[in-house]
Order: sequence, then C-alpha cells, then structure tokens
Amino acid sequence: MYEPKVIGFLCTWCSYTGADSAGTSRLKTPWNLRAVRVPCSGRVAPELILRAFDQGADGVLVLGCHIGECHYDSGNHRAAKRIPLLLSILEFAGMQPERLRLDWVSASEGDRYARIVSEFVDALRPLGPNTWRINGAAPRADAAIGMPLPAASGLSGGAPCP
Amino acid sequence: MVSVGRQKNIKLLSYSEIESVSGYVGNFEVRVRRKPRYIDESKCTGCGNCASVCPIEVTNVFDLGLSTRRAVYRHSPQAVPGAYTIEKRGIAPCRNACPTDQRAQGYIALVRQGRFADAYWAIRREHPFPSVCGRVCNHRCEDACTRGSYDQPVNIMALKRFVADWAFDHRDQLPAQRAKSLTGTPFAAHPTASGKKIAIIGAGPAGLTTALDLVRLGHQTTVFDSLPVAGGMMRVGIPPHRMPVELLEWEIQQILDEGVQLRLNTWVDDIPALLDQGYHAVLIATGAHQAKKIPIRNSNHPDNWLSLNLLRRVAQGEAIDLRERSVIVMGGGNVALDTARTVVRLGARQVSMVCLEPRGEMPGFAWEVEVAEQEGIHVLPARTFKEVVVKGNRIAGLRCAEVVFRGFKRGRPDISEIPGTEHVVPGDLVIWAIGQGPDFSFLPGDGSINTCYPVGIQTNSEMMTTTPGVFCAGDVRRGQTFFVVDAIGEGHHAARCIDRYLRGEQGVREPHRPPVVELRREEIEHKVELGEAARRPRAVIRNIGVEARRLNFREVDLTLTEAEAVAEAERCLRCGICSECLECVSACERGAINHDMQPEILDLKVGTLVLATGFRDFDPRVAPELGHGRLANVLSAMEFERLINTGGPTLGKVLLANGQPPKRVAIVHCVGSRDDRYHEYCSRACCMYSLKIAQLAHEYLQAEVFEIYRDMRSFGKGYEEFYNRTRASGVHFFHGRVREVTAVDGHLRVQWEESFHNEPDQVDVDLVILATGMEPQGDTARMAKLFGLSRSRDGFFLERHPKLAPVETSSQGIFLAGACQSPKDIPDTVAQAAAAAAGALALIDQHTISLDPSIAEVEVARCLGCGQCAAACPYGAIELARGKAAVNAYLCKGCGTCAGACPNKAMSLIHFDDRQLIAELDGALAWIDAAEEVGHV
Amino acid sequence: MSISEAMQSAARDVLASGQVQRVIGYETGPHGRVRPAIIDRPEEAERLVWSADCTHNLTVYLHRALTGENGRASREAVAPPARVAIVVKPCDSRAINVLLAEHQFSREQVFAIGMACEGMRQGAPASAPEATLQARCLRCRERVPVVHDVLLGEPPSALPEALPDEALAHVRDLPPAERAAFWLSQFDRCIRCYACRQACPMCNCPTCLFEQEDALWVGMRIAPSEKRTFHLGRALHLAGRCVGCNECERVCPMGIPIGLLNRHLAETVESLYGHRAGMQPVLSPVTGMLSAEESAP
Repeated sequence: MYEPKVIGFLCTWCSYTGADSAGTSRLKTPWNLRAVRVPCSGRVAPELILRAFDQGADGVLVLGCHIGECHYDSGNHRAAKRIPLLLSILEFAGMQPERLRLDWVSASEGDRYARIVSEFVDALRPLGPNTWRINGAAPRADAAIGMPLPAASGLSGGAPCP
Repeated sequence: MVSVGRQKNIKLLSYSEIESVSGYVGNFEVRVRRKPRYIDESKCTGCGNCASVCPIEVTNVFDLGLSTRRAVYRHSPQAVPGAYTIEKRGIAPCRNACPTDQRAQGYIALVRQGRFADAYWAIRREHPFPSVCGRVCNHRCEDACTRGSYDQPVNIMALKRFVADWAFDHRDQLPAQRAKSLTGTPFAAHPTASGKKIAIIGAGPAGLTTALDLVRLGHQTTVFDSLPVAGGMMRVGIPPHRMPVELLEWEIQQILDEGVQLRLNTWVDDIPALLDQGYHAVLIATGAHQAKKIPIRNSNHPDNWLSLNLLRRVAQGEAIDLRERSVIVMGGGNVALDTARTVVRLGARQVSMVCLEPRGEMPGFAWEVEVAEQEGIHVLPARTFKEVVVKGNRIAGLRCAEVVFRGFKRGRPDISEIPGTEHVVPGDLVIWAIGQGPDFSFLPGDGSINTCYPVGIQTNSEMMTTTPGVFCAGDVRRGQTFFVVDAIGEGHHAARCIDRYLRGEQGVREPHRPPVVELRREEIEHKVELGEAARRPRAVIRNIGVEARRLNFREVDLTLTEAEAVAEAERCLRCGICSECLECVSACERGAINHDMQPEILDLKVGTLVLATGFRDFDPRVAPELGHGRLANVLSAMEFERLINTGGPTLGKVLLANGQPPKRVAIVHCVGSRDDRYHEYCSRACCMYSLKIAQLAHEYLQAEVFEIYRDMRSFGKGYEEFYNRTRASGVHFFHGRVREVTAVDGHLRVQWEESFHNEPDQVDVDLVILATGMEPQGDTARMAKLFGLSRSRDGFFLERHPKLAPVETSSQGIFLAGACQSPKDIPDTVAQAAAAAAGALALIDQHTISLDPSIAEVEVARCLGCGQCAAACPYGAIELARGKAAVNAYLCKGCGTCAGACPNKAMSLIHFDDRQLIAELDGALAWIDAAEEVGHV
Repeated sequence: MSISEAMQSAARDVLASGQVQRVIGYETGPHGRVRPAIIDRPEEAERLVWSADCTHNLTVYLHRALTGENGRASREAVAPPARVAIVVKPCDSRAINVLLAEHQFSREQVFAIGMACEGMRQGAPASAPEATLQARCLRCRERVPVVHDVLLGEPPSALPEALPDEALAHVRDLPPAERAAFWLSQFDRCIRCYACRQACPMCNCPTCLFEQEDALWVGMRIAPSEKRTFHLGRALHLAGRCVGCNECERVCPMGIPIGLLNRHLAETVESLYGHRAGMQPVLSPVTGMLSAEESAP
C-alpha cells in the first residue's frame, strides 16, 4: 500500500496542542503527517498549500481551533472562507478533493486529532501518489489530443489584439 | 464584600455597564455607563423607609420569584453598597402625554392602595386644579395609555376626579400635608424669598398656575382679574352642570392660602405702569373670552347672543329665563355644547345646534354630542349659515344650506354648498358659539407688545413678549381656546421662564424628559397574567337621569365609589415600574432620592482588566421531564436555599404547597450538567452543595433525604470527609440517572436508571430539589466581543492556556476570575481571583510591557494598498496610510491572518514568514523522500 | 443624436468644464478596429466612438491614469489628472466598484460615463457584420452600469434569456483525470507572456507574486506545473474580485480558456458567500468573517 506524504498545518494554540495531547494520551497517529506549526489557521495562505502540492505533497491537512474558539478571535473564520475556494479550484483543475482538508481540533481533543489524521491518511492511501507534481517534464502531448475544446469557451473574444 | 466596599483603593461601580473597551495592555480605555439609581449612594443609609411607602410591588428576582419587592429596593440584604435603587423603565406614556407632566401612574398606584390623601397630594404637585381636569379634560393620558392597546385605557380622568372629590369631601380631615405637594419638585430647592414681585393679569388656569409656581419659588405674585370671580374660563366658561363651582373655589382658595394675592374687579390696561409700580415681571394670561360672530345678514339683531356672555352670566348666578324661547346655537365645539346644554337648563322650548362640520368630525366630544341629544337638543351638522331671518321685529330662524365639508385649509373651512338644500331652521334666539378669540384692547397702543398672525401674542421660546419682563401664557398667547390642561402646562412653563428671568442662571431648569416606556404585547399579557394589572373592563361613569336635569344645574356625571376607583386603578399596567408618585421622596429623611438622576458616562484609563462576571444558574424548566414549573413542590437548589435562609422570603420555613412540612426529600444531581442535551461539562459545585442541602433538610426539616447522584465528585479539601459524614448521618444515596419526576397519588415519584447493573429504581417523596448546574451568563457573547476575548465551546470565556495560563486571556492584560471562565466552587474562585489580581498587579508593577516579537510587518514596495489585510485582521491593527498598509505593533497579536490574505505577500509575520514556512515545507517533504529512499515504505 | 455623438458631447462637456482632465474611451484605429483612446482636450472628443465592438475593459487604465504612472507616452513630468472620465459598460463598471473597495482611488476621482449595453460582438467588425454576440454577453443580463455618473443609451426593456454556461458545465462534468489532463494540455500552451495579467484591471500588484525573481512561490521556467500554479494562483487571487469581463481570455495569444477558471470561482463564491464581485464597493468576502449561521457549530 502506498504511504502518502502529508503536510499538516497545525494551529499552535489548538491543534498543535491537540497533537500533543494525542501524544500524551498515547494515541496512535499515522507517521505520514509532518506538522508545520503556524500561529493560526488564518496564517495558512492558499499559495502555501499550492506550493506544498507542487513540491510533491500527497495531501495537505489544515487544522485550526473550532469556530468561536480562535485564540485570535476570528483568524479561523478567514481560513474557513479561503480554503474551500482553494479546494474548489483544485478540484476544478483535476485534483482529487480528498487531498485537501480543513478541520478543527481544540487543545484538549487529542482523540479527535488522532481520528482526523487517521481518516485523512486512510483516504489518501488508495489514491496512490499525487500526479499533481510533474517533475519538470512537459506533459505528454497526446494528453491534450482528443480533448475537445468546448465550443462556447470563447477562444476568440471580441476584436483581436492589435 | 463589606471590606471591599470599605477599601479606599477600590472604587465600586455597581449598577453600571461597560459600553466600550479600546486600547491595549497598559492603556485600556473603558467607557462605563452608570445607570441612574435615583438614590444617592452616599446619602442612603439603607433604612428602607422608601420601600415601606412605595406603592409598586414587583417580583423579587433575588428571591427567584418566591416573593415580591417594591419598585424601590435593595438587591439583597447583604448587598454592597447597601443603598436602595429605584427600578424605573422610563416615564409612563400617560405622563409623557400630559402637558402638565402629571405623573398619572403615581396617583393611580396610590389610589390602588386606598391612599387617597397621598394620591391627592401627588396630583397637586403638577396640577392645582384636579377637580376641573377630572371633569373637562380631553385626557391625552388615556389616548396614550398602554392598556388601550390591550383592551381599553384606564379611566384616568375618572380616577383624578374621584381623588379630587374625595379630597373635597374630606377637606377638613385632610392631614396637614400640604408640604408633600412640594417634595420632589423643583420648588423644594428654592425655599428662600427672592424679594421679586410679579403681576399676573388674568386669574384663569394659566395665570393661577404661574402664580402658584412663582410663590413656591419664593417670589411674590399678585393676580389681577376684571371679573368679580377668579378661575377664568374654568369658572365662567364651564357651566355648573359639568363643573360644580364650590370645588373650584376650594382649589383656588388653596392657591391663595399658599400666598398668592388676588385682586378681582380690576381691569389692567397699562402694563408699562405695572412695571413702573415695582413689579419685576408681568404675565399676560387673559385668555380668549371674546366669542366671534361672522357678518351675515341680521347678525346685529339684538337677539344675536354670544355664547361666552351667556355662560358668564349663568356662572355668576344671574337668573335668565328662556322658557318661552326657541334657541339656535351656532357651532359644534365644546363651547357650543356647553351653551346648548345650558340653554336647555334655562328652560328653552326648543334648542337646535347648527354647525359646519359633519357628525363625527364635530370638534366637541362625541360622547357629549350624544348626551346633548338625549337632553333634547336637535343637532344639525354639516350646514353653513346664510342669514338670520327676521320677520317683523323678531328673529324667525336661521337660513342654512347643507355643505360638503373637507376640513380646514389655512384656518378657513374648505366647503362646497349642496345646491337646492337651502332651508330655514326655526328659532327666535340665535347664540353664536363658532369660536372665540382674545381681547387685545388692554395692550399698549404703541405696539411694544407685538401680536402675531393669525392671532395671539408673540413670544419667544422663553415665553417673553416683545417687551422685556412681560411674559404671556395660555389661550391669549395661542389666540384661541385650548384645554385647561394646556393652560396649566403653559403656566408651569411660564413660571420657570419668569424664574429664570428673575434669577438668571440659578432659575429652575426645564424638566428632563427620560425615554418613554413602550411595552410589548407579550409584556402586557404577562403583566395581566401575573395579576399585576387586573383583568376587568374599564369603569363606566354613571350619571343622573335626563329627567333629573330639568331646569337645574346639578352635575350630570357621578363620581366613582371608593371600591370602583380602587378596582379601576388595579387595571393600570404600571408601565414605568416606578410610578413616580414621589412618596419615597417624602419618606426619605436623608434627602437621598432624586428622580431626575441621569445616566453617567465614565471614561476610565486602566492598565489591566479582570473579568469576574460569574455564571447563570441553569434554568430547570429547560428540562421539562424533571417537572420544575410544572409540578408543585419541585424546587431548584437556589430556591430551596432562599426558602431555608432565615432572611429569605419565608424566614427560613420550607413548607409544601399544602402548608405541611416535607417529610421525604429527593435531591436530583447533574441537572443541566453532564448531559449532552444541555451541557456536556460538569458544573463542579453541585455535588457538594447537594450534600449541604441534604444535611440541612435532614437536620432542620427532620426529613428523610434521598440523593440520586451520577458520580459523587468530592474532590476538594475536606470534601470526601463531608460526604462520608453526610452518609453516616443517615441520608440515602442512590446511584443513577434520573429519568423523570411525576406526580403520583399526591406524591412526587422520582425514577432513575442505574447504569452499572441496569436496574431502574424509584422513590416517592413530597419535595424534589434539583441540583442545577452553572452556565455562561446570557451576555457572555456580547462581553467577549466587547473585550476581544474568545470563548470555549461551552460558552465560557477562554483562558490563554488551560494549564500554563489559566487566568490570562489571549488579549494581553485581560484576566479572568471565577465562574465566567468555567464552573467552579468558592475556594477555586477565590484562588483564581487572587491569581488574576496578582497577574494584573504584576503587569502594572513592571511599568513597561514586553510584546511578543512575532508580529506582522509590511514590505512596502510590494504593497498595493488593497486593504484585504486590514479586512482580515481580527484586531483592527492594520491601517492604510498613504495607500499602503501599516501595522500597529501594539495591537497586533501575531496571528498572521493578514499574511494569509495578502495577494502579493507584501504582508508577512515575523518568525513565521513565507520563506521560513516554505523552507519548512520543503524540508518536510524532502524528509519523506529520504525515508522512501532508505526503503522505509 | 447617435449614442456615439452623445458620448462625444458628454466627454467634451466634462473636459471643457474642467470637471475632468482626461477621458478614457474608445476610438477607431487605422485598420478600422476599435481601440482604447485617451484624450485630454475637448476638441479631441470627436475621435471617440461607441459600438458593439468596444469590448475592452478600460478600467485597467484607470489606476495608472490617476496615479500618473503610465497614463500616456509622455516623458515630461506632469502632475496626474485629479479626475478622469471613463466610458464603462456594465461589466466594466463593476470593476470600478472592486477597485474602489480596494482603495485604488476614490469615487470622486472618477467620472463614469455609463453605457447601456446590449452586448459586444464577436470577431472583427468588417469581416463579420452578422457576427453573433460574444458568449459572455449571451450569459450576461446586466444592461446598465452599476456605477455611472451619466447614463447614455436606452437600456432595452425586455431582456433576452441568459444562456447557461455550457463550457463551464462541460469541464465540470469531466472525470477528474480527464479534467486534469484537459487543463494540463491547456496550460501547456501558455508562453508566460502575462498578457492576461496585463489586461486585468484587478491584477494591479506592483510585482506579481508569481513573477518574483527568487522563484519562492513558483519557478520562472515554463514547466507545465509552474504555468499551472501561475494560472490557478491568479484565479485564486481573483476569487470574489473577478467581474467577468473576460479580457484575460480575449487577449491570450494561445487561446487558453482562462475565463473558465474565473467563472468557476465566481460561481463558487456566489454560492458559498452570496457575493458577486463589484455589485457594491465592498471587499471580497474571502477575507471576512463567517456569517452567524455559517459559524454555528
């Protein structure tokens, strides 16, 4: 079975501490997740996640405080608004939606942390390696052949460029 | 609490609310709104005299609704400060509607208690003529009455008349409490004589009111009137069948008794001379006594009488015989009605009333039009007058035509005649009652006192005419007849204006008008439900029969009986809660009460803040299966505590609904706590207080006690020992989760499930006590927003770290103490409070504060000034300055949300910048690659 | 008076009365093609035209015109105009709202000559007189600019039924693998000329994040994954801001359907947050707070 590489952006106040409490509770969590500590889930710029996928991550897990419990009042609100859009455009561009997840874990929820990470990794394993990363090489040209360009997509706009 | 109250370094701001918090650690600015207590904390000794005279009873929240208290109250016997507070929602709509500012709710509350003398003095504070306004007012108070939106308004006018009549009947026994009519009014503050003299022209309601107020303010007043009787229109305009003369005379006599000089039969036509004679100010209050005529044909025939002249003659006792006359009264207003009804009493053969307005739009009271018709008057509305028909030497009638009436435009009627409807109303005497105006013939001829269009004397906002020192009030100022109550209102206002003119800055201010109370429909229904207002229809006024009215001027309407008056007063909804009867002001020996107290805004600059807002008791009605509020003899723990307290509502007696002491008591644990339907958390204090209650019930009530607990959490010092002691004393303990409390055969059956052996069990008792848990205060969300705090999922304020920073919050400089952070018992609360105080002091003591170095910074060259970072910042720490973002390092808490939002990554977070995070990412992914290479996978 | 003449006279008036110092509009170029025109003098107003070929979104010039950074090809240092008039279609006017919300200029600095729009034609004017409307105009139901100081032309009373976005639906319905392949083949054609970025009124960062020399966020080569990151990142930056003028797609020399990405995100933002960019001068909701019901646990 393929072992995915997972980047976890963990909010230092809740989920990072939650990971700690999972550890102190001797709960088993998959080793696939490599934690990147951030002050708040609001700090996680979508570009960072794009970057992680570009560099070969098989999945990205963003964990923050529960809504209403943010240590920075409402930083997690911004994450909750931003990340769904990133997921939406990644999915539209052909990535499996299972590869990106935003969820909430509070400092005391070690069990929830362990459960979410396990679920996430379990869902990634059958997907195999992420094909997103193309190691510098151009895609096979025939990948484009036979893909009809939708007629109404508007290849030609109004007046051609001067 | 007492030592806190006495500590000179602690300023206790009770009855206050935080309006806003701004700034940051070391420099917080807190705006506090001190709600008016209406009682000076520094003067109040807490003697309770005020409460003993307060007529308003409301539910006592401190006793959880088990008792009532007065509108003036002390929150609890141990309250610090021990000062009383008046609960006031604002001014009642009835008071707001009255031009005299009459506190109707106040005297109604006193009538309800049968305190008629007190009620009379309460009325007299604003109103020197209750017997008049109890009869002839257009009672705007009743139009405004909240009860009117529920069924029918309280019959406030009848209550006023009742009080006035009662006072007149008991005038010899009325206790010498005249001083009471001054307490709580501006007059109480001006006891010293000013030595100023004021001449008042006209002894009508405006003139006499001003005169009385000015005397009470320490001035000398002389009232002049051209008539041989005082009272103006009240005396010579309102016919005796509506207003018995002796009551009015008694009221005027009371005014004179306070020191007002009266000079009747004196026509004043030289106002400048009055000023020369040593009067410091003059008030013109001559009223509007000239009835108008319109110049139609034969309107100069001697049998064209004027309404006011006739009324004046009758009021002065002249015997006029109209027995052989057939009378046409022209006009549809109250004067016309008075005239017509007077003419009926003078014996006229036939009386017709002709007016321009159609029925229903007549300016006179509709009820009085009906009465007039009952008395035999022909009402002929919607007609215009064309000509007085004269045949021979005698009037034969009035030629009229029917009209379509469209109201008044710029003071002129907008009508059109219906062609072919001309007819003659027969009659040999025409009385004009189409309006009246003031007589200006006494004004100086040089125009120094200006009159203005269309009628009336010109005054400024201070009621002064164009001649300094000469004031004007009442109908003469407005140029037409209004109601007595308007004249009294203007009289009060004129008195204040004259006082300010004479005393300058020290004169009395205009009264402050607090917000008017508006009750919602549910609130009204709730009050009626609770019995705070009686559910009965409005009192009906009885009158003497039509036959009894022939050829005499006996008063038609009868007054209420004492029982009827009390019953009607019970209908009052007491909108303002405090009725402003001002009885407390009279009762307070320290002069601590001030009903005009205003809310006070305090801006405090503080370095640190401690929140200790506490908790709210879980409302057991939320769990209906336990029967609270539904079954008798189911109490919450707090209710039981109040009842068994010797200072409580029952002085320590706990009795069942049937009056018997309880023999078997069950205590149900974990009500609202540890239950996924309500609150998941444990409230920590309930197990131990349940043990205390068990011991109380066991020892003091001699009852058999059953505790049904889920887990006995006796974790504190000495707690387990207490548990063991309680067990040993014979209290029964059952392990289980209570499913239901039901009433069975006059007992309460408590059923539970036993979780270990799964054996349900039950016990029959006669008293159930619910050990309710704690929950966050209702306004925790608002407070969290105000102070920039977070809340944990249970709703309590969130500490900065559950282990390492349990009293701090994520906002530096704001600390938490007590149950606002999580449920806790008293020792834990005290410990946390001490820790919060120490933390706050430690911060202050440093004089400087060190900030977390991890804050946002801007790379200006990359910033395009779009402001998305500022929108994303939860702390408002980013401003746009000259098209670029700028971070306030004191406000920034270092969350980095701005860096996440910046499209161009011009915003970064020190120690968590993009370069560092990306390096971390690359390292993390490379590490896994390495793991792959060594064949880990 | 034709609409062109009305526009000319409006432009002449505001220039002559000194209300604005510059007008951005359209003119007919040497080959009969409509192109943007920037005029500073009232007498130049007669150059301006209005037709169904005025497809360019002129708001892209607005910020530069007002800051004087690149208003005209003029070497001498002149103070930037205090107020600029601009000819806007409904879609373009929404861009003004977005830029206002983002503090790029103030409302007082802009005089918007709003044009009631019946859609822009597809293709060059001379070659295809019977040419149909552009696809984006067939999907559009807005006929009156949301921002305008004067409104020229009569908005049609009856609107034709807006056409559904078939292209977007088509791509959405592809299986994920095919969709990935489709996009990779599209992005593979990209030559990183950045014409899309230049034509976009919202792409106004001083230096684009994806064009930084340190290659922190994306490499500077033309590897397909790098180009994909550029396009997806750009689409993400336009989420809640793109007003759908489709200039990026029109100017793309390689015919990449960039507009699909933007339309997909615009629809997502509308369905998630109820926001349509530029209908009011408010920021994209992506940086804001969750609403009460969204934040309910």
